[in-house]
Amino acid sequence: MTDNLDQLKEQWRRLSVGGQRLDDANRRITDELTRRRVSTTQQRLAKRLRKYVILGLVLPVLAPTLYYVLECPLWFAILYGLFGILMMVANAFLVNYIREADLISMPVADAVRRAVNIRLWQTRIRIMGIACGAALLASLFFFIADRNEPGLIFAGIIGLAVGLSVSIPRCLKNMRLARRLEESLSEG
Amino acid sequence: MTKTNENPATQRFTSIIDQYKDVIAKVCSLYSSQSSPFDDLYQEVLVNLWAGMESYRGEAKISTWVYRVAINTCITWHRRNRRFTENTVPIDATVDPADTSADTAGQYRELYRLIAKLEPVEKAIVALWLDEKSYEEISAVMGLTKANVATRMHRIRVKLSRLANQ
Repeated sequence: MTDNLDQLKEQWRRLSVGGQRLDDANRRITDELTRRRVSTTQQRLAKRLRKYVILGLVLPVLAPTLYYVLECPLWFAILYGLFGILMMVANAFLVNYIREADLISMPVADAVRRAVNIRLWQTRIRIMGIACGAALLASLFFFIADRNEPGLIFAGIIGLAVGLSVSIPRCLKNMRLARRLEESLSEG
Repeated sequence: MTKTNENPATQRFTSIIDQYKDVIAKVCSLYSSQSSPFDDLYQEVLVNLWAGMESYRGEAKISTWVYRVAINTCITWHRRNRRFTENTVPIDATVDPADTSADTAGQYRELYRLIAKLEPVEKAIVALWLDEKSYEEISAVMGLTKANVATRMHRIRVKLSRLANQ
């Protein structure tokens, strides 16, 4: 087969993919690009992570509600707020790391290394968020239980279960992808 | 394809994709799969080329830049952009060899089947090598040393040979 690789080089060079359909698609895509604003892959990734920065900001705003409305201890409300600030800072760091380099135009090996770092940091931040968040939520259920509102506890447990069932597979997938990219780069 | 009322940016973009559409399509065809369809990858590469034109300052050859954008899009950052693709017709991903003999078509299918089993970085190196890029040019696109490229190319040949015999 590897002997055939050399023979197929010339044929590969002459290969034409898509033909007229490709030309039509190029025309349509160019029209779309000139008519409306589009985001690059890198911009969309940064935008997605910016949502978590904003979400992190929400927690300190909600913290007084825990103290004054749900009558949770003051230390808990402070911890809740600090958790939000920590998540906000961590995700803001990651957004900045994504934006500071042109990921798409850089040499492929550099882009892959950066991609691996981004995925690994995404995963670490997520794991930290899951661990701290789960601990805080468990404590919250404990405080709510004192108020005898089973509906709230039930809703909280469902939310926690759904959140974990979505986040954990994503973390594992991210880590697998990162490991695979890292291995393919380190060979040779 | 160029219209006289197009602005310079559009003309430049049209000129780039006219010149490199085969390169982009071949790279996308190597990385396309059920989860990453060809038309989706192809459109994503064009979006990234369009957006990247502004920041391209000629530090690398234009062909090097196009290869980098196409490969990086396919390997690292492809995410389906549903809003952008919903009104477009999927591009037929069928590869039509210039030579339509059954034997050659069979060899292409076998080659694609084997290359599909390579790791993402290996696919990139093979695509560049099949396009008759020198090790120096491959090194410029990939950001690897020439020696590293040569070593990897040797290992890829061994791997393809092993896969072909399985």
